[in-house]
Amino acid sequence: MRSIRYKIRYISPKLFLYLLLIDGAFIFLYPILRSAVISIMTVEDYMDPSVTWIPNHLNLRNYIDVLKPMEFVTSFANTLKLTLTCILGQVLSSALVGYGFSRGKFPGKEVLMMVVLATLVIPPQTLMIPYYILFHNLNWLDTLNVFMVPSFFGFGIYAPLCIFLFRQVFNTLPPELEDAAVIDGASFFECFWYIYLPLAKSAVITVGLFSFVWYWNEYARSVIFFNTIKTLPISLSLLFSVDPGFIGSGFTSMNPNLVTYPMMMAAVTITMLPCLLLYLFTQKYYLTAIEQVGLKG
Amino acid sequence: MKLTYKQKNVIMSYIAISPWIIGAIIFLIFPLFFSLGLSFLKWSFNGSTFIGIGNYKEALLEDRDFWYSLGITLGYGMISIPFTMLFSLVLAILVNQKVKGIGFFRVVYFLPVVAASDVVVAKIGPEIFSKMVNVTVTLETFGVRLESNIQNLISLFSAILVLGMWRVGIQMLIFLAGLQSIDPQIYEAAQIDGASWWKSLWAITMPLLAPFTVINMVFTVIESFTNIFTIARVLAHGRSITPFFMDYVYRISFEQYRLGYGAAVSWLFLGIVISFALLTYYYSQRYLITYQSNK
Repeated sequence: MRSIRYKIRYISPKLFLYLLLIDGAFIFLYPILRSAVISIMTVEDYMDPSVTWIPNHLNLRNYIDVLKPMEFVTSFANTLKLTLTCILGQVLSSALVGYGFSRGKFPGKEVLMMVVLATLVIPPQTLMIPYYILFHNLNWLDTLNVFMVPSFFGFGIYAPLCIFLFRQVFNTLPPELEDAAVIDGASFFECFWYIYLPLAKSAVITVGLFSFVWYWNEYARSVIFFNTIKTLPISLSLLFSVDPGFIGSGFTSMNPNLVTYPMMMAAVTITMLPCLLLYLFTQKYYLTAIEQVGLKG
Repeated sequence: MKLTYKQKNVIMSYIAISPWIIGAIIFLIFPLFFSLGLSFLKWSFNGSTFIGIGNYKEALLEDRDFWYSLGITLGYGMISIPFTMLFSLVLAILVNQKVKGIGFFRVVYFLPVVAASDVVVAKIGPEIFSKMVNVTVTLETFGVRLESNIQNLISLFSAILVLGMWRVGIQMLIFLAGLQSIDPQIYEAAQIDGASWWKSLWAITMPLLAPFTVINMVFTVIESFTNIFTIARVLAHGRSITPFFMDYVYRISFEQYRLGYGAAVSWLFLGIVISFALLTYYYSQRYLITYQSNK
């Protein structure tokens, strides 16, 4: 008798909780699993209503067939180059600026920091026309400069958040370290480079990992500024190569006629995979990013 | 002249933030003033004329499309913000439970933020919705004006809302950080006093979570007014036919080549978004102060 009551009181809420959690996990994973499963189906399997999760024939050809219409080699290399350079720029510039905001004692510091954060509110599309004219005059259209140069000047994707993160992390480090180093004759920037930056390793990793995802998935700007295969990033290639109805600027020469729906899902999976793998191995840094910012500032 | 340590620090820290200042001049101040200047012009390929606030007047007084797309965008924000907040709070409470394997669920719930870009979302989206609504067709019949019925509006909103909420991980993490900042002893004390789970949710969790709710609100306001439209855009196969404000601006600027007018309406929109974010911040700060002084 007692054991039943015990079960009801202590085990069933837990069971209920697990059911909820598993339900939630299924909802969040369903689209990704679904596209992965479709990507290994043949067209017949996809059309067959009796096949939902387990295909009759394993068809890995989709992955090979879709590489050509995706211009996979070019777009993958482009995106990798763009992403890695921009991560470097984003980490360096936001660490330096964040350090200035944390260790500097100059007038107007707090106001300027508010301005940095306030730039987040500006809808990116407001700046699109002036950017287009600016980049056109600098001859930057269809070059990776469109992303690389801003990232080195603290104007990468979500750069205000990165600057803020670095500032918060530097704020938590003891100022005595700087005093000691200054007595030993270290300059401001030597303190930054040799003492504080190595101590802020977790922030470097966090900013780098998030930037990877942001740049890898970038779409809104590249669709306006990139018009040739030469700079085609993978997110755009996913759109133009597999979507026959897609209206875009310069990529009409790509031939989407032969792409089947399972092939399209293979392309989606290929595009997601690098971010997915990176996340699975480094999820700790993604999930603790908010705690690092420590919201109280 | 020998500089004191303090003066040196000031100069050096200005040098440290100088990349951002240079960046701000090139990528922020110049573009903003450029588009502000443009908004007072009647722009065309063979020369522009200064028409003062004519563009703003036209938008506010004569342009029905302006009000229509503004209404849709703000309406979507009004609907999506409460839903997103509630959903992310529920998720945060769920993954804050101390049970075995909870880390796995956190990883899974945050996964779409990382894996699913706008493009991927819009590619997978129709697959999930094919049984419910065909979003792309909805967008097409929906078109630029509300010529079709309210049903279409509902299906469009719900589709984009669900796709957007799939990536609610950031908001969830903000709430989770808030939940973990609450001292568990408070709950224990409440439990001893006989408070139910539901009661302590309202009397302890919600008030103590308030600062995190503010940040989440501001973040969600920005997100739902500016970023969400890219999903709609990709769902519409890249055509600028969605009823959201950004597409309205795009149509004016890049299809009708009325750059001056486009700049004017985007400034109006910028003003609205900023005032929304500020209002959210201001009122919630006031609420916070009232709450804290009552404490």
